[in-house]
Amino acid sequence: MSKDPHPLRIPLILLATSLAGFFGLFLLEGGWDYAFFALSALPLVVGAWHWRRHAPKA
Amino acid sequence: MTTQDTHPSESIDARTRGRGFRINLWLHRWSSLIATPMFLVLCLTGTILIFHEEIDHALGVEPAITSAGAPARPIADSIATVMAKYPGQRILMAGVEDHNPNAGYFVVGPAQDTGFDHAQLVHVDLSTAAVVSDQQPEETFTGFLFKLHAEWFLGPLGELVGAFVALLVLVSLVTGIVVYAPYMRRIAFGVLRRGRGARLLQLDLHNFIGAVVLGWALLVSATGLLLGLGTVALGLWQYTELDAIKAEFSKGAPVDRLHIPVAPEAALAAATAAAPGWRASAMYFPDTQYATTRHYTVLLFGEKGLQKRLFKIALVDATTGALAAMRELPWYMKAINLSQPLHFGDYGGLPLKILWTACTWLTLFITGNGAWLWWSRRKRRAQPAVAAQEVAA
Repeated sequence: MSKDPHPLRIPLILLATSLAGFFGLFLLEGGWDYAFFALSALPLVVGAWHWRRHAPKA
Repeated sequence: MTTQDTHPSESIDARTRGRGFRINLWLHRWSSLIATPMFLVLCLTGTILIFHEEIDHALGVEPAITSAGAPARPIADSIATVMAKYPGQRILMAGVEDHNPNAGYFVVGPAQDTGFDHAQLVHVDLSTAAVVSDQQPEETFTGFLFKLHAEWFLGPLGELVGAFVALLVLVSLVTGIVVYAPYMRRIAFGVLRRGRGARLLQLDLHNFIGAVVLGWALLVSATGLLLGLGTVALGLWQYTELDAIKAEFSKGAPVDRLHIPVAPEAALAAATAAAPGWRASAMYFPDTQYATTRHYTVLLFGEKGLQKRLFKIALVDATTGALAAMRELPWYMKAINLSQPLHFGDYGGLPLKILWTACTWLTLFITGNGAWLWWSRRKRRAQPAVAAQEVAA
């Protein structure tokens, strides 16, 4: 069993990241669009990375 | 997300935890299960509605107005065309689409009506004053789906049903975070326990995908809740602030609703002159539901940033053409206006729409697999021998 005192740290960081991205993209215009879109998509990217990392070896 | 009780050998037993945990587990389970059938419909229709612009364009139901650069003719010409097509009716509202200054629309209704119950939408090319389409939104494929998604074909009551579903999903998400914490102490983020039974794998997938889409799901369900309360909020505004405005500015004889002394252009010019940096996007004609008996109500939108999503209203005297008042919307109406793009994800181009679709489908998956986890647990409890075999295995 993990002894992590903050078990929700990763999900909450992902939550905050995606919300920052969605609201940033919504509120600001111009050159920041790509950065905020990247933040919005980061949880899915992290999820896909974890998925591949824990995938069974062929 | 759904229950945390898993394969017996891996169980996080709710009975050994505190009362708060058990309440959250119960709320998470039942809010999810009650919302599941309606949420499946919302996810499927929502996926299509994300691309409503592209679908409308492909189906050819968008009004064909290509004269974006041509000078507009006087609004009176367009009104004359519309009135010739709809004799015995009157203009209740007029507006222009964001993407093309010549893409005008008029809402017409019976001359004696002030409300919009029997209103019809007419699209007009303002550069030629020709009617280009009078297809009603609900007659299109995406309009039909929108009626299902937003109202369940029940009108304002259906909006409240949608708000209730959104509230259930919000409860499910928040309580899901609470019941997820003990799981995270045992299982590292992203670990999928393959080869140890379908239930464990589905539970890991449920929690893992739930954590990945949590931010999106919270945003979409919170904005869905606000949009579901839209008609209630509009009614509240109408019966408080708008009625006060009407009482204050309706003194004096009403204008002849079929022969309004001041032309719409003059009213628009008076409103925009009083609000630099704001553009007139739509106007309600005098003696309608959202105007006084002697004023136009002009909706002014900002030019950039957050102001593009919000509007304020200007009252213009329909007998003198003078600005009578300018009002901001209350906070709850602003919140609902801002919720629309944040709910449908149509403010960031195609990449954001694709991201919205991916999150919708992932949420659809965990909704279905959460229901399956609950069902398989019940089935296992009903067949103790099977459960014992699973433990032994």
